Amino acid sequence: MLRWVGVAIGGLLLLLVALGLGLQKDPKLIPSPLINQPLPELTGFDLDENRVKIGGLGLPRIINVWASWCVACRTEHPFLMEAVGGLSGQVELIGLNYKDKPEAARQWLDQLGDPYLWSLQDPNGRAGLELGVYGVPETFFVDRAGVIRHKQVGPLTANSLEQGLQMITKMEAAE
Amino acid sequence: MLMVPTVHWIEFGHFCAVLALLVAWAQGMAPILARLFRRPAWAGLSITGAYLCAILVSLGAASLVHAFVSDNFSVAYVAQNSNSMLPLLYKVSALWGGHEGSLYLWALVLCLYTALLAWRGRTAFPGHRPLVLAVQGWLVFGFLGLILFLSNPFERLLPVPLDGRDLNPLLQDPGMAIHPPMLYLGYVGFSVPFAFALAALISRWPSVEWIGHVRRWALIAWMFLTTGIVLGGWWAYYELGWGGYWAWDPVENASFMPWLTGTALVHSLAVQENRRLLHGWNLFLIITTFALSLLGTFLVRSGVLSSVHAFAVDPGRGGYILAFMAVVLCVSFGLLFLRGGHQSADERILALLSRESLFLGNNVLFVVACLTVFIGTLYPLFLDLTMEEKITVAAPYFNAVVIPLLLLAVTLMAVGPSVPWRKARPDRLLRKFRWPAVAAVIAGLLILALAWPAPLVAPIAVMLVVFGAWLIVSDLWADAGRRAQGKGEFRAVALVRVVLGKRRHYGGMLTHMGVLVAVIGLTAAGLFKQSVSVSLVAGQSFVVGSEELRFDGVRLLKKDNYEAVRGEFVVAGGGVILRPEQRRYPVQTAPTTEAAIDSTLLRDLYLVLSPGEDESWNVRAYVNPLVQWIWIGVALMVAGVLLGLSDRGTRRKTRAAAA
Amino acid sequence: MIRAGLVLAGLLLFGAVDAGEPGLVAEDPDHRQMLEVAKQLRCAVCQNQSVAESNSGLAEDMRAVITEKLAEGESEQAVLDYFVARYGGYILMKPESQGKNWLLWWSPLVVLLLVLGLGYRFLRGQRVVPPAPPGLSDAERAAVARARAGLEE
Repeated sequence: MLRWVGVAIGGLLLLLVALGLGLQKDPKLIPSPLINQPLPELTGFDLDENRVKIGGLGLPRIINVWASWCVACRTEHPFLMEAVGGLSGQVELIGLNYKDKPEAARQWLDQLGDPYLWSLQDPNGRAGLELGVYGVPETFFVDRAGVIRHKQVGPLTANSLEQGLQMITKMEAAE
Repeated sequence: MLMVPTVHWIEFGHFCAVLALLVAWAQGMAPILARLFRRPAWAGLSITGAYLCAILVSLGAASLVHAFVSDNFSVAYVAQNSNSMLPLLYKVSALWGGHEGSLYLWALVLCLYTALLAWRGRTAFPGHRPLVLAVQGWLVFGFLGLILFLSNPFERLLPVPLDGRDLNPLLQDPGMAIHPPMLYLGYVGFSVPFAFALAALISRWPSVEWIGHVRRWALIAWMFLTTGIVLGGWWAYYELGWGGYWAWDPVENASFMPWLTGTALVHSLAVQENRRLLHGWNLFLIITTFALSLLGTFLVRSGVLSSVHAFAVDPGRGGYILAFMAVVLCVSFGLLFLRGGHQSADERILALLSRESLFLGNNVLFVVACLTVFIGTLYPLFLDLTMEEKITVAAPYFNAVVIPLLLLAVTLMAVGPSVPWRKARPDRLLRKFRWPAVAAVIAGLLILALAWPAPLVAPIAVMLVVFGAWLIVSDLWADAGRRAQGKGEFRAVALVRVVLGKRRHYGGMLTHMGVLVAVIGLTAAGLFKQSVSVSLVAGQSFVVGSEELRFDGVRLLKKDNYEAVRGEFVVAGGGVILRPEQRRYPVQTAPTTEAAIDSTLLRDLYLVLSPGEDESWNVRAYVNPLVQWIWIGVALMVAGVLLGLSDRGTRRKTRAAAA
Repeated sequence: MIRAGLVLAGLLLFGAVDAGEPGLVAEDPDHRQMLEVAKQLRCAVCQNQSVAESNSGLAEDMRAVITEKLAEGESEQAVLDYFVARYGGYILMKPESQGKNWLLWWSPLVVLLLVLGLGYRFLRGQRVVPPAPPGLSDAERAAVARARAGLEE
């Protein structure tokens, strides 16, 4: 009997440690199975109604999913404006305008500035589904070969940007 | 300066809560200091402390209610959870509508239980009263610490907002107003057996003296927990608009786990009381049940698991509750480990076929069910920690693994009361079970034939119910018959007198009957639910199950604190009109659905309305058979517990034992 | 019984439909099939709700995709796989039983056996027969024999 109490205590302590570790995890964060998978080819129109395509070979890309209705995007936006200058030439910043009205999106960019090379319109969220988007803003880091190397859920920050770019170079070097 | 008195009130309440923290500390320390300084009289301080704490924490609660009712938005918690247009009832219930306040309710309930325990202990267990109350004092201390340092509902806001952010519209509902208090009366109620157990372990208190009290308190806690859980389901049923009442959400599971071990506990305590067995096991169950209550609180408030009901994520609070749990668990299991030997059984199980061994089976099933729910609830976290992967463990898993266990438990429940203590004679049992078994098989085949192709669970459940109910009713009937013959009474009179004379036994049977009734409802609603979803314009009709409904269009509705679109649906042939709503609360703009339900004993007709394209409206309609039986069954269960608790005989017996 | 009653009544009513009652809207069977698939998928943003039940925008989009893919003739499993490839196993309401979830699916049985084993051990421990009274010594045995012999005489 006493032995079993001992076992129970041991198990419980383990459990408490696990729960403590669990506190540092975000239960709402869903890891993407698309990491290290090629970016699906998404074609459509940008906000100026030009035909565009996401995916395939090219410069390393950061694909930022945003919308004018998204509150967190508003906090993220100034950072993108600031960071885009440092990226030019090495990395392209491309927008995915998720479930938005083009007029509203254009107005937002006119007002707050446009950090993106261009933004793909995704009025019905279909492109978002292809990328496994569930909460805006989300950011995908894609390497030269068109392979997704990292995904950030929630507003991009200096840290997460650095992390994403590192993942691109690290994984490219590894292969 | 109209604001001045309001300001004083809330600060006064805050002061009371801080004072209560100190008093609770003293309450916990009193017996320790008494022993250390060899001043036995000091131990009595914990009694004063218990009363004082209850008063102080109640004053704090009163000041919060006052802040809500008087729209004092300088209190951050009020500003976040209320609004000047909120109806009075919800201003009061908003006290437990958010994290800080509901935690305060936890502490309040704990203090009230403690005071009640102090009062009951005057005559029932005077010698051990200080120690029992000291254990409670430490619990109060732990919770008040969490409240005052990490989630203080008395916190003030500057500048004072003009109006509040309003109570979550989903919580603006009478069901939600009483669900949390009931649930906490259950959760926290298990602290009382816990306090007894620790006091017994510390002072080597022989279990004959306290087992009766613990059984009663455990039953009370179990009754409230049952009510609380079911009220939550009831609320979800008509407020969330998905036609169901239980989703195996992590937070629901958090309340279900202590319920499962609590159910095991109330049964195995009866074994200890009647047969002087399972002493160590019962202590283990008592501690586990309370620990699971704490775990539930942790899961809901830490944000470890995502859930519909979870409060705002705050790792700090989570860490505190975790540390608190670690202390409680280490102390209590440590004590059990060191001192458990003194609380050992005086008797043995004599035969494999006896009531006590069936009770043991019941315990096995409930503990396994609890462990299963536990594993399912925490497995995603485990996988996330070890493999950085996420999965969903939801209804399909739990239904598949827990329902068979519970059906087995119902089987034992049906059989158990017919099996005598100590040693049963198989031939007698077989004779007794013959006819109910035949009836059960016939009923099962009937269901199978009528509802074919139905999942096997349906006939099995029906067989169990027929079998169990037959035994309960026939026993009662025979019992009444014997009395009628012996005393020359009418059988109806004898029936009532028999029930009132053996309240504890028949209270238990009534509870079992309630379970059977609920099983019928759960089976029917779970397996034979029908639903359609259609898109309609005014004037069109549709069919769900066997009912035809005509859509008569929508009307706009304006209330003080919300606007609604209300649809009108006429049920063909009965003149019943159903009015589902889609509401929009101006402060918290997310639209909410208000399902319309027409309930009869046979079925609930359940409608949810949402806007469709153009002029049309989307309607989802459900026919949920026998749902009302679930609520009726639970009402019977509660009535059974109350009947059992009203047994004077046990009360006298425990008092005599204590004296 | 209830079910049979419902079916019977339903038949009667559907009979009425055939008779051409005006404005009676029936549910689209494709819609029903879509909901069957949607029920097996979790709405990623709303926590513990299936895509069939949720009113969120994401769930709406997912329902549209399901409808579309089913209309294109894809099997239900293919549709589920499509979402798993993009959202991971998280998106399934019922965790896959093979692979890394074996622990999840087998543990209830293991726990049951374990606890049953413990219960059995306990019961067996209980059935230890109390030690028999010590046997008689030779002298006592002789005394008994003598007494018996005396009685028989």
